[in-house]
Amino acid sequence: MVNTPSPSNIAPARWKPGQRGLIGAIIIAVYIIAFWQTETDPVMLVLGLPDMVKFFGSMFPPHFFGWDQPYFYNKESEFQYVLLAALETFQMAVLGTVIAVVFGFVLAMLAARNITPNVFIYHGVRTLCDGFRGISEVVWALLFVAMVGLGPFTGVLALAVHNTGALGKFFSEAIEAMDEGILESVEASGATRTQVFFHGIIPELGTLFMSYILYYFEHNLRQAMVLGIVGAGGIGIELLLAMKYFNFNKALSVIIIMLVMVVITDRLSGMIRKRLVGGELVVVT
Amino acid sequence: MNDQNNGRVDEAASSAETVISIRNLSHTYKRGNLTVFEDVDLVVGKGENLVLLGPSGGGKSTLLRCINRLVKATSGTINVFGTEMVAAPFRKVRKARRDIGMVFQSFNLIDRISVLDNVLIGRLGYLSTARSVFGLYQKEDIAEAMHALDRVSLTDFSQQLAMNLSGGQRQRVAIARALAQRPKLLLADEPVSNLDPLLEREILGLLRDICREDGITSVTSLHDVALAEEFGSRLVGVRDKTATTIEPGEFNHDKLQEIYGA
Repeated sequence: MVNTPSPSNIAPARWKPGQRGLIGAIIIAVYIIAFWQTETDPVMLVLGLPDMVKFFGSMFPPHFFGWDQPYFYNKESEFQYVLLAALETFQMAVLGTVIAVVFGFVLAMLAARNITPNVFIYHGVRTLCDGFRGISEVVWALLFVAMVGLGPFTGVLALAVHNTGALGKFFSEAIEAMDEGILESVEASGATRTQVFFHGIIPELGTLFMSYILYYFEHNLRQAMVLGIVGAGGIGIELLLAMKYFNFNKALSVIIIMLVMVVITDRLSGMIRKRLVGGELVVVT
Repeated sequence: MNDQNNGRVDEAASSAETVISIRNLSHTYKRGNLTVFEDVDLVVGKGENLVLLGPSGGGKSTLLRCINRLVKATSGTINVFGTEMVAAPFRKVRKARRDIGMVFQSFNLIDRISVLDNVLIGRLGYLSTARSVFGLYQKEDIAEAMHALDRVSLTDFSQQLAMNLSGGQRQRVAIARALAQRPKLLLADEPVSNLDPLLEREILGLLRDICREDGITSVTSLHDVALAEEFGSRLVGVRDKTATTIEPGEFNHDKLQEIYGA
């Protein structure tokens, strides 16, 4: 008897049929308006295919040979300079990541609920992290150009600031989720906050932190390539100039170099991650 | 009720040097507005092996954590070796904590580092922050840690990863970590409730022997009455927001019901 459904013990349906129809109509309307406003047109995509094929055709062969022939727009864009710019991109990613890791840890110690000194600092630092992270690297680069001028230093700063926010947030959330008992046991020995970090948190969460850091390094390498386009150093500017001057063979060679860098980095960090966690699955949110 | 309690407490205090003196201690968890105990008075004399007895959720763990201020009590005072733990600034608390070892229900070892590194955590309070960042333990610290491991018969395991040890061994490592502090007071929060019955007696016996040999005062929380009677020099019932001393011989069915409300 108790388990017999009756009108009184069944939860009412959340939406009435009429309401459901209305919600459906609203969702469809949102899609249609979005299509119209963004001028999204599948027909254009199909009609543009021949042009696309022609464009790709004009990119071949990639300009990997005849390095001694300078380009008409800039002598400095001989091929060896492209490789140098690629190296610069890599270094920007390395520096940006390392700086972000250091400051990310500092912020995380203040923004993790279970170890923060007080609730005002907790909320303040958390908001700071969201602010750093909420503005993308490219926008930070535009801001820093005004401060330190064009060049790779701008790119490093942009990467460092955005990623400090991102890593600060992820590190602090990892700390919040860690076994409270470990923190207690280290604190109970009379350890300082710094000691709790280096002897409790790092040994316990090191592999998780490492997988975050590797993930963000890969991300930073890709971002560093884009940053060049706004003048913040690295290989991006080479791609932009090549496209601007219709030097498509060179553009393709730059894209291939980018792709090779990304693939190698992803493979390497994948290998490191596997070694660290020994096949254990570490979830990066 | 409280007067009666104070009478006993003062008696205990006069007979020996006082290690812990708790007065009017109250604690309310802000989250959920949960009052765990109110106006608790308790004095622990030097060399006592006090056992806190009571049901789960009765406040034993919180009371223990107030003693080394892992939990900051809402009001009242706790004097441990002359330091007022409730109000003291964090620096003083840290210094006081060096003399207070603690052993936990779930051992709280770090799995991915060696047994020795786990035990060395007990030395952090004696190490400058700059040295400890780089893991530059002094020779004496390592000797102290190895000595502590020897006391729990785990010298051979010092280089093993903590995760490779069994439950009983893990708690012994945790005891060694507490001993590495050279504590004068040992707090143990349900130290055997994650262990099987054979190991319960082994671990509690080890704790008792070590405390006896080193003259360490101990406060242990247990929920098992038989174990409490066997290993405690004095029993204190913690329930209904109070802590009351249970006199020897007072233990009978009625008292049990009073403590556990069973």
